Amino acid sequence: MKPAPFDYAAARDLDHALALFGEAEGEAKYIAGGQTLGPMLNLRLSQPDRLIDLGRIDALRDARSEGDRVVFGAGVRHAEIEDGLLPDPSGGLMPQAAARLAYRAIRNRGTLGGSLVHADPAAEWPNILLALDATVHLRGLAGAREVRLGDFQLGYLTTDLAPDEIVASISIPVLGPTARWGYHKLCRQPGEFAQSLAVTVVFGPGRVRCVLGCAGPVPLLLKAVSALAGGVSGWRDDVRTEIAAALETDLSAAGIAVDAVDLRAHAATVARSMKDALA
Amino acid sequence: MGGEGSGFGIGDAVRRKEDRRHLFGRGQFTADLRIPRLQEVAFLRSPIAHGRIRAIHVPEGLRDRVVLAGDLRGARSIRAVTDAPGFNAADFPLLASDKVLFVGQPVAMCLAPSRAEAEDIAQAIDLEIDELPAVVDMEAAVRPDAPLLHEGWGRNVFLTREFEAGDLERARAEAAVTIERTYRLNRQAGVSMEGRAILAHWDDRLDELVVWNSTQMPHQVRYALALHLDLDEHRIRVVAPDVGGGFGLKNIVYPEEIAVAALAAQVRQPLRWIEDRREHFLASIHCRETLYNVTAFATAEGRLLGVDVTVQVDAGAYATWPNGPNMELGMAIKNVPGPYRLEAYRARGWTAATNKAPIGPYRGVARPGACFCIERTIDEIARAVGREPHEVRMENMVRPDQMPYRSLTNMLYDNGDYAESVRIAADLVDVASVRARQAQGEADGRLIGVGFAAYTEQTAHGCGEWITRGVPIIPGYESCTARLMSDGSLQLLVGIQSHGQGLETTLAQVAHHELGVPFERISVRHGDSALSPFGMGTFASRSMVMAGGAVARASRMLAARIRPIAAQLLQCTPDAITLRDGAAHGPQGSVDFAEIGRVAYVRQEGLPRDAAPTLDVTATYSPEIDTGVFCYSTHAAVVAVDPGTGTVEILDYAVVEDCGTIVNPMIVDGQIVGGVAQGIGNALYEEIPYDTSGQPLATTLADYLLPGAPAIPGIKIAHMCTPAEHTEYGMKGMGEGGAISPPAAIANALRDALADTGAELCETPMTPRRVLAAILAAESRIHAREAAE
Repeated sequence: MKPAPFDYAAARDLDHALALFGEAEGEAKYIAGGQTLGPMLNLRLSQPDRLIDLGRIDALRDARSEGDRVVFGAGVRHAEIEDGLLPDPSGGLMPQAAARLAYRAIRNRGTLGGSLVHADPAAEWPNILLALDATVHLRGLAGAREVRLGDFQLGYLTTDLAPDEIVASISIPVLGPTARWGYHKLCRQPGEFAQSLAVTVVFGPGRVRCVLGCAGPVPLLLKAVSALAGGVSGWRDDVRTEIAAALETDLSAAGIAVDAVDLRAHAATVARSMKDALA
Repeated sequence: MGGEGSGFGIGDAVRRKEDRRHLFGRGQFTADLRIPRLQEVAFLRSPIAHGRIRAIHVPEGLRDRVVLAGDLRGARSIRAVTDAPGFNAADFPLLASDKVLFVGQPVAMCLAPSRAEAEDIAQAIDLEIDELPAVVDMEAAVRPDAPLLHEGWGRNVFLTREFEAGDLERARAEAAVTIERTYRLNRQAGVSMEGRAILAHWDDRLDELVVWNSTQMPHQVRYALALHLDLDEHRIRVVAPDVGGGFGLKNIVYPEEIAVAALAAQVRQPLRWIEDRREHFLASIHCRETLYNVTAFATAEGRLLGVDVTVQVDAGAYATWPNGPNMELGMAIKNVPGPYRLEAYRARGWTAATNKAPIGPYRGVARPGACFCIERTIDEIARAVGREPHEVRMENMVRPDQMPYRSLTNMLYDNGDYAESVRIAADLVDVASVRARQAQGEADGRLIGVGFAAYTEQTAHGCGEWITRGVPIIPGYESCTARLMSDGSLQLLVGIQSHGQGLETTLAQVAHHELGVPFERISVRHGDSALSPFGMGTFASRSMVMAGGAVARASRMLAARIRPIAAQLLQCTPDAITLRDGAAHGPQGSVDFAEIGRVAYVRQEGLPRDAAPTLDVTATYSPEIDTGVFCYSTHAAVVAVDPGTGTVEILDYAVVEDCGTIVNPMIVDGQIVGGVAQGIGNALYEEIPYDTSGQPLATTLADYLLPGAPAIPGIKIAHMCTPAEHTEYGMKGMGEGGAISPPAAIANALRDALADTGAELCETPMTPRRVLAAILAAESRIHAREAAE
């Protein structure tokens, strides 16, 4: 479990990173926290000719409030979110989720942008940031562009990112004072990847985004479930049956088949996230 | 005795001598060694489960860095043959050249100054394999139409066994209750913190092969190397430096190890191979994979009348050295009756060969499965007759007045009060309060339950027992050289190997107890075939009893040599001498061990006329009975299960055990906690599934879940103490036991928690998915029943 040989270059800033990419011979790959790419290199599942290290770019570590949004540099660490060192647009959702994301050693190095780029549908940020309706800001050799997260995640471990592009920042709308959220993660033990993960954000009356991870190739914005949640006032235990039915509607609309066992587990996490958001 | 009351003798919770170096990061593992000219080895391994090698293309210029099967001279394939009737041998090639039989099987060795470069070479080799259909399911493997792994075998079966005693037909006829179940323990890995490791180099000055090996049994490795290489045993030295856990998986000599040793001897080049975690999951032995089909008969009161069981073992592709896949089946059949009075028993079983990594011994060997089989079944009997499972358990157990009790499977349970261990365990988890809480219901909607599982574990078994197992090596004894030095300090040179058991501490406690040499002036040397007399190693819960016995005996021999010298110096008779506090005491005055040592080594004129100089004795020890001494235990678990997600939390866990006389209670408790942690892994987390093409699906720690610290509850431990009658001090072995009961105790607790749903867990690990599936299956049974009505 040692990586194949590669050339390494540390970028000073984003322009430098893009220049290093442009001049590379063979396959070049960016590395930030390295919490996924590191093991992939060691297992030789990824064998780039050049690694371009984004870890020393200060601008990527920045986080600031801009009007009704918070803009995170893509290189902010999970631990910085967990520890409340950065502005929080999510009313506590992001710090709480960060605290249960993998292990502290991983949180110390793993980055927000890296998680979105890896696009694992069982990971926290692709799901939570979809529920929060985040937008990613990209830089590439051809210039800058921005994509809403729902359009960025194309498939399992697949995004709209071109090989030369870098996620520079992520902007997230700030939740209003009456917004509520619920988040539930089913995993076999603390720190492991989720087997089911659901987050419900109530932005305001009738405006709910409920997202389910692990069921499909990408995080799923559950339209029927969200509509159901938007239409009830407060939580009633008997709404669980309706949630299960709405979830089945959403999964079949997405063309996703899950067996009865997974359906039970997903229905449970969705219901719990909704209960926490509505109760 | 010399060490009584000192705080460092038998029964004292002495802090471990070995912890200091480990806590300061100064341990010395095989990967820490620095040897000039060392080359690192990476193995090219088969990516295919079953196939025929067509060609191995080594790139131009790399040929001298790559070693194939034909390049190894004077090294033989591993042959592990047992005396079990009908055993099919399956020689395990050091490097595959013809067929490959499992993913991960070594095919070539690649040499380079660093491991990364060696892996680059391995990656550059083009391996052409014609794929054959893979055999991955143990039941399908033995069907007549299954592809054969080994030429010349009629079926993919290593061995079959049958056993019958008592009148099963009568039990069947008399039974008011019949329970039929299928239990499955899935395949898992050993996951020692340090993987396998070997460094081999030729010492030109001594003209010998020196092998540093992360092993539980350095002397057996030396024997095995002499067996498999063209090398006299006197030219082989095997050293086990610090070993980061073994659990049985390092009680085996592997192809990689013989290949590295053979090549180092052949090319006179220091070579090292350090197993990485992926290789560990691929090619270290696996364990546990067994299937039990059981029918049990009982009276309307829950009295067990008879058990009829079929045991199937999935042994993977090859027989490993020394014991092959032979032990699992035999021990399963022997141990299903457990601590119970059973008068009719029939067992049949076979061990299948499949295209998976070979299985081998892992803490508990076969007994977690046997315990799961009988203990889940006892619970079902209790439920069928409407009684508390722990009470039914107690009534069925062998009673103290029946001891010693010879089981139907010819195991001689030596002593103890099995039912009392259940009673204490029930107290510790407070069954009544669990029942009250169940009646009330949990605020969070979870369901709670309590479950028990007991076992009686044969430990420190001797020659006769091992002969019945048909194994090629009979580990019926241990050895010790005790050497009182010229300054009165003491060295103990032992043939076992301590890799976490704290034997550097406990064996010193024994010698201190016997001789009164101050504890800090005693060192224990183990793990080096050049230093100590031949010994078998550390496995089978044997070292404290066996090596402890050898130390006791050597210490007494030393005392017998010390007394006449002291008597001469003190002008009294030898029988008037007592040894304590680092000195020999006579009726008038005393002489310290330093003076006795000085006389024995460098002032011969002070010795009695008939006393030989030096104080250096060697003893071997075998327990007085070779059927073993039985450590028994009851575990009780209280769990909460989330019926929405299948998640299980252990709320309370108690262990009541009787390992006879305890040498170091802190170490015994540590062994129990560690064993229970591994048992919880077995119960809830650990599994290596294979897909239908024979690809293992858990080959990293991302896919293979180990229990983390939050998964291990505080464990309540209570000791009973029934000293063994046939060992030194009354010790019994206990190292493995903690890992035996947790799968059964937790499964029974889940059964209890889910009693209203009717769901049962009959397979490990009990993942949330399996728990939910069991609940759904039970619900659909209920719906079907309602529809039928």
